[in-house]
Amino acid sequence: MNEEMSYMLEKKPEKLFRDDGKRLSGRDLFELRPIKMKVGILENADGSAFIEWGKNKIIVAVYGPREIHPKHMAIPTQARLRCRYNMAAFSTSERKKPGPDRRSIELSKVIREALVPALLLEKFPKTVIDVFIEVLESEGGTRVASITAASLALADSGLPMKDLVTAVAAGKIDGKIVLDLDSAEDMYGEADLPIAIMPRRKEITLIQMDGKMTPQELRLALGKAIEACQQIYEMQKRALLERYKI
Amino acid sequence: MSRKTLKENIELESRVIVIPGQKINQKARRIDENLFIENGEIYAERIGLLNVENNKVEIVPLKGKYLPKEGDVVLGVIKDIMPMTWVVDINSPYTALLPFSKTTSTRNESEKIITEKMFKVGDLIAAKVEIFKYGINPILTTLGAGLGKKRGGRLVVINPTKIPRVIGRKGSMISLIMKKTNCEVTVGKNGFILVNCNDANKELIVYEALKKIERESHIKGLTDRINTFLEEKMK
Repeated sequence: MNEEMSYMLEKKPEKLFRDDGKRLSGRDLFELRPIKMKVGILENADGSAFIEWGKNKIIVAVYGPREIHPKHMAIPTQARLRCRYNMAAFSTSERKKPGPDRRSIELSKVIREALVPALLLEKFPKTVIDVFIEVLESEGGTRVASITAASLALADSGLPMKDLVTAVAAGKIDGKIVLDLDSAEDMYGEADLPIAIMPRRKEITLIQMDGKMTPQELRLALGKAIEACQQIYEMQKRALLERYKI
Repeated sequence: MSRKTLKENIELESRVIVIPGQKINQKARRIDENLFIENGEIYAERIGLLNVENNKVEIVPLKGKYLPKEGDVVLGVIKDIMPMTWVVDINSPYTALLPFSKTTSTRNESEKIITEKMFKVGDLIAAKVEIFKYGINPILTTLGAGLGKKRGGRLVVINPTKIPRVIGRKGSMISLIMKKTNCEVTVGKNGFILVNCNDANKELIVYEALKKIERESHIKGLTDRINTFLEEKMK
């Protein structure tokens, strides 16, 4: 997603497509990586979720609503949502310096803003809801995987929500629109378009773009991404129901 | 889990688990606060069990924090002493306040001495929520039968949404536990439960039973399972 990940691959691949037309990972153009979700993995958190998206492994824990400290941070009419996106030192192939950096502070912000529209924060005035996102292993597309897992953890904590939030990235590599970019495609491709939607009404809560696309390509990428979100939404629903299987 | 239950547009039966944003195919006059209406359709707002009873749709939540309600009897732990007021932790996003004037009607000693003597930090009290309005700290009272300081026993914390199941229909579950184990169990609406036995082993059994209720409350036949569990353990 940027230069900080650039040490993940030793050298740049010549092409991002194989001779048989498939991508380097063996996927078709609009094929997602295998996704596994599990809800309620932490005992002490109010809500939690784990997602395995390709090689991405992310744990999300939700605490709250709880009392806010310092007190002056409280919003009189609604709850405050705090997000912390953090990459473990061992999440990349070269050790990442621990602690928040420019990138993770930005991601914390965009993830927060992607989740807020789905929550009914006005039901808990003057409180705070904390979302902690820990990336254990990364392979490109951690922000969309984080949003997907965070919305599961929020739903698991029993918070009122209008809808879940589902996210996926589309992009352009070697002139072709593809879905769900991995780290090599992200770095050496031409464009990256992560989006998050609330699937029920198809409202977009996050849209970013890095690189260049024509308007036609953008339309195609968006359409494909929204389609893929429906597919991921079904997985989210299944993961949530699995938690309370009778 | 069969694929059929995942489809949104099938007729939902009662006692089905619903997730946030799920459409409820029911025509109902009344809905509870865990559902909302959009474009004439009913949607679930929280994860929980759907319950449909003549013209009323409601969700029994599976998880969530305790929100104070006026009239609720809660158990709380004294966290701090302020002039004329105690600060009480009631397992909620909002810290409760217990003013001196709501604890006693007599005024013999000087008020300052009483506030320091009556409850100490760490004391467990049973209290009633007297005032709770949007966005302000709840005000408690200990004036009333059975309210006030609690001594001895073991404090068990469970999810407040499971408290109705711990009490059971007309108190059936709680009286079952008390009868089988001979323990005194005080239940606070906020998820704090005080178990008072003369035997530490019995307290542990009640603790396990309460945790079992918390874990399995959404599965049918809970009372029977708790009954056999207690009978086995009390042998």
